[in-house]
Amino acid sequence: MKKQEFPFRKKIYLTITFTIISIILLSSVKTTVDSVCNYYQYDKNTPLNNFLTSVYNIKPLRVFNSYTGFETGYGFFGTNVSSDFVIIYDLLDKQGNKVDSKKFKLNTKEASVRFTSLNRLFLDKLTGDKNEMFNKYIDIVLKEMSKHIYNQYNGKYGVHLKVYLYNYPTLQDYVKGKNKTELFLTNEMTYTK
Amino acid sequence: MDRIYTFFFTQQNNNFWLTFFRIAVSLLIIIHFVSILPDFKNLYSVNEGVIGYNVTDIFVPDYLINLPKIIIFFDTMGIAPDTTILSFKILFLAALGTLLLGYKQNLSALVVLLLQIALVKSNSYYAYGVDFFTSMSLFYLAIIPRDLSSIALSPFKRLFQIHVSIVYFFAGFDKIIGTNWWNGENIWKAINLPFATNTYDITFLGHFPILLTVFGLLTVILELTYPFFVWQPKISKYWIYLTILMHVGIAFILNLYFFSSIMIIWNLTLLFSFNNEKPTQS
Repeated sequence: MKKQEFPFRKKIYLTITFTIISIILLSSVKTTVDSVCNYYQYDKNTPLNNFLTSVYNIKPLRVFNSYTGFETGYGFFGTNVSSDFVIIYDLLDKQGNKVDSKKFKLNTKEASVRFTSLNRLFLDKLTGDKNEMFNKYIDIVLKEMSKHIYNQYNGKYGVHLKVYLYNYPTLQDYVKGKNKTELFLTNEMTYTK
Repeated sequence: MDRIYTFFFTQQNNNFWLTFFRIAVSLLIIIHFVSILPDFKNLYSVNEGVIGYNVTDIFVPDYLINLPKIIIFFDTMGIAPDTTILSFKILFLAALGTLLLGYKQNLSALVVLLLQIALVKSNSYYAYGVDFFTSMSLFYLAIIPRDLSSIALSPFKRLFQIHVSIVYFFAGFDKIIGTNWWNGENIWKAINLPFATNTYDITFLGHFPILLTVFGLLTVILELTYPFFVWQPKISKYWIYLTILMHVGIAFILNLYFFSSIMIIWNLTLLFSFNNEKPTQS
């Protein structure tokens, strides 16, 4: 009688449902553990983390996650609100003198917001245990950006691109009267032809 | 086991929640897509972007088909990149049109999902929260049947409901383990991020640190307890309204309009999905 109530198709759908819930939970726990390890600088080489990573990286699962968006975590500004960066470029005349200075942005607000996601690269450089190759990669990215700006001005100006870590005073400091934003230069690139 | 089946297989009275979800998600994707059109090439072309694809492709796994790969493939067949990009835009909007109208919802959603993935995976460094939630929304629209009599409708609706609950639980959990969510510092930092400070100046809040601490803790409590309260019939809608209010705040203060919009859509869909069922009579 029971088998008639719960036909085979129901079992299939229930299995799919539980499988996807497991995938969602796996991504959630994995990204939470990563976030905590990064923030508190805990050792990532733990049995739990290794297990999560090995399951997370099973190829069929990675393919599924990539094509469905399920790879994401849900921290939403947790564990900590990441520091951000500001990209500014100077336009240089043929003698190398600064003609103008502008904040890098794209044509539309949404594209500019989207482009700020790239700042993860610069943050990784500051906080991660990245190697020399990674630093070279960032230089290549900066060169690409500089070249893009250079072409926007039809080669009329040289470009000095600068990446600054954006540091607004903490709440504690603000209460004490500190209210000036500090910009710390982290990367730069000069592009001329 | 019976209780599990009863929970996952309930009789569905209507699928307004699904219709709402389909139309809202379609419209949002269309508006989002149109909003970046002036920068389309800057973000997603092969050689004309801010960063060339030959620099970013090292992060693209072999199994992912993205727009630059499609452009390169057709280029080898003699079709110019501009033609491919234009065709992609037309195809994407056409597929979104069919999804919006509900024509073969599952197939339309699948096509839009594949195209959306092709777009956002063109450069993983340009992707952010809204893209993942868009993909997941399309995935749900691709698998959830419109037919009220379909056996799959109820368990997949439950899957969505549980997913939303997990989302907010981890959003709250990730925050509560961060020390700066306990003292207002993270709220302060968020509202003063460079991309958040162009429109509204609310730095006066810095003179009321206790207020920021309370905002931070309320955010954490709202999210962490979300899965417990949204399932309580008497409280559910109020918890969802509060969460929507939080996202409205995020939209205007952090300038994350599209991300907030999709989260509001998920919340409203959840709200409507709770109102369409009655327990199966045994």
